[in-house]
Amino acid sequence: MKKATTLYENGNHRWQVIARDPERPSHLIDTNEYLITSNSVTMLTDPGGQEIFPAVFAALSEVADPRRVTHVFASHQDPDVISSLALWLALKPEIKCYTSWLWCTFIPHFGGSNDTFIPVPDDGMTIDFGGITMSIVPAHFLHSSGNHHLYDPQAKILFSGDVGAALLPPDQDSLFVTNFDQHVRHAKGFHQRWMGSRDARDAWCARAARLDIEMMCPQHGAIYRGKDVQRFIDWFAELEVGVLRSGS
Amino acid sequence: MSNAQAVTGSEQASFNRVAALNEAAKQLIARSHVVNLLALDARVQSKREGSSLRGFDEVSSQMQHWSRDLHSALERLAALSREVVVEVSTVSKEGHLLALLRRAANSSTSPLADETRFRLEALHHGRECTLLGLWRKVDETLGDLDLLGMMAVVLSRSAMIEASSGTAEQRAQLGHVAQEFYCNSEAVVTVLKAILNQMKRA
Repeated sequence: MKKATTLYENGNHRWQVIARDPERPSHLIDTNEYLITSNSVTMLTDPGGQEIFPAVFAALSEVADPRRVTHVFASHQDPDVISSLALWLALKPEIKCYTSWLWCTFIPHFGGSNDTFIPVPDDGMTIDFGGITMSIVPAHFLHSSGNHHLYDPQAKILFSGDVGAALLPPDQDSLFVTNFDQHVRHAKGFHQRWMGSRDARDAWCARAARLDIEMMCPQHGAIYRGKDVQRFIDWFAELEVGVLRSGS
Repeated sequence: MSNAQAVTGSEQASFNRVAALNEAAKQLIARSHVVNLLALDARVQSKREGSSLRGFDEVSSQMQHWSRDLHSALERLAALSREVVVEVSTVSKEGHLLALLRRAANSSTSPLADETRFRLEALHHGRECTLLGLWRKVDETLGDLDLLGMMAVVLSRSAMIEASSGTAEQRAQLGHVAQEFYCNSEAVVTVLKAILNQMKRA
């Protein structure tokens, strides 16, 4: 079963990560789901694919009542990001989903209706989330053509979707990056193949460098803390992206 | 309405029941930890006081056993609720697929959609039976928990009686522990009653 770990807590404002399922079948990519709570509202970021719904539900239940989830945030349209939407809506039909306007007619193929989606414009938006202000920031073409990240200035946490993701070998399952140089070896191939645009990468690096970030939380792999955040931004800024190497 | 439709139509209710069970289990686990610690402390105290408090020692030991039994029953419940979520998720997905296959069969002259639908319906029916079986096991476990709740109240009353048999000092010390046993037992019974009522309504 996946496990929920608290990353940040200040009164009724919390960030928790749901990660690391030892029973996950190897044909499914590992994912991190983040549960953000502020007073009476609760948001799940990139809630995951339908195959892992039971594991996410069970881990979430350990730390919160899943009926209290009011929002989901989909950084983009991939199945590992949002194909569980129909199941979350079966639990609670009133759940609202923030996602790029680009995907508001595509994601309903997984589930949801006109009332479900809050379209996010290309420039992003700020949202009042249970008394705190969070920013949905653009990250287009990293990798999806309609892609956003979520920044919480109070917690100083950036949910960075696929940016910062690493495909870790089974024996390296630390929740946090402990050795940056070793870690990015597992991030390199992913970023070179999935991130196809140098301009988009440069824009993201410039934007991220301006934010005050203590934790950068990707959807796959380990979480970057402290100086490793800037190390990642610098590393990514220099990385050759859009590289096609035959994988199979 | 067929059983399959009834089960499929109650996905939200099933998820809600599981969520309610998990919430109740969290409260009960917290109570059982408190009782376990109280019982341990009470046993140390009564051991120190010697043979005059043998009865209280025995009741405290029973409270420890009770706390462990409650914990095991809750672990069974947690495992069952995980299984239920897996089944309800699959039933939900299959239900959606079946609805789409029915639409495909209605708008197609090929028998393929119907054949696929029949196959899936058979699987779906099996899944529905599994789910109903799981809910029965949940009901049984809740029945066990109900008995444990009643036992806790009896034990905590025995603790009060035993506590009143010592000296004035012992009565003061153990009366407090017995009262705590009672409060926690009552709280466990209240949580159990609420969850049992919720399950019956669902």
